[in-house]
Amino acid sequence: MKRVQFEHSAVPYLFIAPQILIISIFFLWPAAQALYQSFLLEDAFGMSSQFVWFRNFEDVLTSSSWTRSAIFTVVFSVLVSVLSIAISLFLAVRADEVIRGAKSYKTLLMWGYAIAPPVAGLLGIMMFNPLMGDLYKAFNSFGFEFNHIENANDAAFIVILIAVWKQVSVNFIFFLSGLQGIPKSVQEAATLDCKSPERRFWTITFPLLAPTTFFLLVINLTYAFFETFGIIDVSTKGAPGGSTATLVYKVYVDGFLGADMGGSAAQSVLLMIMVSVLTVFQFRFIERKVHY
Amino acid sequence: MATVTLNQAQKTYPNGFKAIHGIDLKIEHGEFTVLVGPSGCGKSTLLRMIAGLEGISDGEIIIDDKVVNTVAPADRDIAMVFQNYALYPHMNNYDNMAYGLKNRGYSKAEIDAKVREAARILQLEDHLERKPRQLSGGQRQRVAMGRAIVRQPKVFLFDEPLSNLDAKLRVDMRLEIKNLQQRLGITSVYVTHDQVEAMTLADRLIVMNGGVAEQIGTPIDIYEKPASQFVAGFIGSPAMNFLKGKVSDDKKHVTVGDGVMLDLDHDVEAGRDVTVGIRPEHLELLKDGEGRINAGVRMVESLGAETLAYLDFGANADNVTLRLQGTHTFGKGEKLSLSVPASKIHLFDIESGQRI
Amino acid sequence: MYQSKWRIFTNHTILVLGSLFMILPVWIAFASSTHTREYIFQNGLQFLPGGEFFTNYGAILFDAEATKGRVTALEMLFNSMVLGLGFAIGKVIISMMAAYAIVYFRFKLAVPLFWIIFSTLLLPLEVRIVPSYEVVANLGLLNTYTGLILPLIASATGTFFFRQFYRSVPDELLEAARLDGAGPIRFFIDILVPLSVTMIAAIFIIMFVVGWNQYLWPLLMTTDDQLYTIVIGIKQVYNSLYEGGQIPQFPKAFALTIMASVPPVLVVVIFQRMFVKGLVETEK
Repeated sequence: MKRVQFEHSAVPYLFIAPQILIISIFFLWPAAQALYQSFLLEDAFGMSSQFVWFRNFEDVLTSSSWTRSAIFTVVFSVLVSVLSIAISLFLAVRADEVIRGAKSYKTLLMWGYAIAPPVAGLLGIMMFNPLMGDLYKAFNSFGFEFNHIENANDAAFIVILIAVWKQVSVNFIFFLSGLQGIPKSVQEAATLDCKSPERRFWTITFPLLAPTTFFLLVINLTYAFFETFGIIDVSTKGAPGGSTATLVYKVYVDGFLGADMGGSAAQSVLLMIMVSVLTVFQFRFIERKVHY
Repeated sequence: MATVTLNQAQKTYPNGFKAIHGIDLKIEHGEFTVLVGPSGCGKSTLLRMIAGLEGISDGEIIIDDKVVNTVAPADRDIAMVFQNYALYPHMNNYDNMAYGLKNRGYSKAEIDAKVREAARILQLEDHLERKPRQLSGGQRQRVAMGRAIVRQPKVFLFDEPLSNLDAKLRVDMRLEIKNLQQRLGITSVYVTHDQVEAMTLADRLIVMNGGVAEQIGTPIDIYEKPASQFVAGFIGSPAMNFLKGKVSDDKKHVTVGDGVMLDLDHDVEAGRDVTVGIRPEHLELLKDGEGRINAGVRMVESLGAETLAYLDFGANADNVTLRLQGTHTFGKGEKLSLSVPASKIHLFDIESGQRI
Repeated sequence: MYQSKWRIFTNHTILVLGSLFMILPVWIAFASSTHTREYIFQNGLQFLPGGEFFTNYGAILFDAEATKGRVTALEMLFNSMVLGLGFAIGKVIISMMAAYAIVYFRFKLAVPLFWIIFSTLLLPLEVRIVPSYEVVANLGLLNTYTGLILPLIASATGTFFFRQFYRSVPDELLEAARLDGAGPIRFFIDILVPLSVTMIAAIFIIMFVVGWNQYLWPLLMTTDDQLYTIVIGIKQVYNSLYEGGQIPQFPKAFALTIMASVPPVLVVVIFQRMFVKGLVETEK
């Protein structure tokens, strides 16, 4: 906390008011509504509603479509995070080493964040288009019968690939920054102690990057949970049969398209609990990360 | 134990900057060589070229009759102590010292023996389980040296290892390093910008300036017979006094200031314009009027064991520094009478700065 | 530092492959967008550009018909710009002010208000989407720029960013200002804000990109296609690709993706340093 602070009555309230106002109207109120609605059951016409305590939650948690979506979300998130982190770390280490063209490579690899998720989704699904997509043709030429319309795994593959593609840039930027935080002299001392660059990476660089890696893991999991909506909506739309719908996508489908307010609200609340856990985990454990 | 030879070693950076201009050097077995010079003179670059951390643009680096230009640093059998220690932060001190041995395939028992022996020599036995961040600067530097010692390499390289320590620690560690090197007898190359460190540690000294070796020799040689004005001004503190002078027609005297004539101990070309160099400690204070050099006191610094007097000499009020043993008090403006023995007068060419 | 020739070679190879991995999809989209749809239909996606650049791009920019609606790409780009700029500006102003209040003042509700702001991190928009829609609808803000931008500003990321920055500003600055007779508002305007200029730029850049790329919220609350952003246009085109039994409008769809991407990518690449700074600071 600042050693010196103003003791004033009106000014701080004035300054904080706009944000609090907006948060109250567009966050607290809807969040409270979501909470409230999760305990309600509306009839088919939205005319009357009934307080049903935790029945919505029960229904959601026991529904096979939710469970499937939950499993998919977890698998999806873990795969996207791990793959995206691995690829970007691999690239970042090399980018940190090259002298010629370092800036150019960095520019070529860091812009993925600027692509909107639906745009990435469209690009991806086009590449796999049965009529003219290059990747589709490539896979089939290897004897793979790729059919993402019907095969859930193929569809999942596409969505994962697109999500990884988009996230590589962000992780790359953080890893590069983390690598540049390792003192050059430590790396040089390692060069004298160890001839093999691979070995040096696993014994010196990777341990020193552990804080960054943990941090990115949380960021990536959050990304995969929430920011992949656009990707899915413009590629597989959760098909086939909801097998590539993440929990967030399902909230949208059930609530908006399916008009199941209660169930969708219950799902929202469940998601909120999951996010809270993730966020608390991030602040608690990552902030106390290993300090050298 | 090994010899290190540099044949016309050169380094030019991709942007065209020539950092090292053709240096020749031969370091003998067990010799402690110091590279000294101002910032940017290329001493660290040269050291890193020997290590292999910087590439060599032309010429050869030879360690024990083997040209190592293209050999990886880890294969050159050298060890290096860095200015900021460069210890691995995530390992404890034991592992820091053991790391290099582990990678070279020594057995656990051998590693343990070597690490403990080094720890004993450097008095680090109690700190082996700790991590670098739990240690003081001096202790960390010892761990860094331990890491170098365990490898028993052919050559030790030191890159300004004491620059980050406080003054008192620096003096203590300086002695430790000297003792250690004499005990182990390993050929060492040491870089510093501190000329006191250079003079006290070196068996042989290389004074560098602008990528060039201005002089190579023993510390005493360099002190007594500096090869150029740069070397003369760099080695010795306080720095040598420089005055403009002209050699007399009889070739045996040189005139400085307002016609002050000083004796030379050898003949020099008549009428030549020269730069005259006299060390502050070689000026002798005589009784009033007895000396040929007369100068007024501008400022005095009393250090207890010695006194430094800053004087104005001649019509241009050239700066002359005088260094005397013991404590002397002089009034401001007081005129002092000084002389200097002919053997302690250095002459340098007025343009090239080379010793005459 | 020392690197063997082999290592240097593999480094460059890997980086080139990585760059291709990132760039090829976008390049292919661009190249394919410059051909006729018959050509694409017959020959698949293209690596080399064709001659239809002006025709295709011109069509969707100026002819609403080509984007399957009553709005041209030009209008959609305008909407995206409004959203991006509005969001960024709004975010910067609100978070700067709120962070200032939290860091520099000791007032009664400081702690609870701080936690309220913090709580917005726990519930991203995607999760409260349905009730948010209802609130906006009830306020009559559907299909307005205000309704588009305001709810998005409600999160804490910017506030935490400025909070961290303000905490790093030396206390002496405030003490000196007070001695010079500056009150809290003066201090903010004359000293703190100018000091924060680089931070403001960094946040602005990243928030502009975030705003431009918004998808879910605009999708839900703009039914009037005059308000479509270019990113929503993508969705429309995607939906209508195969309709009508005609040859699908692939080139125009690709042209839209290029147009939706070029502004934010350009911003990120040109202002690279600020973007990276903003990204690294806001994710913490």
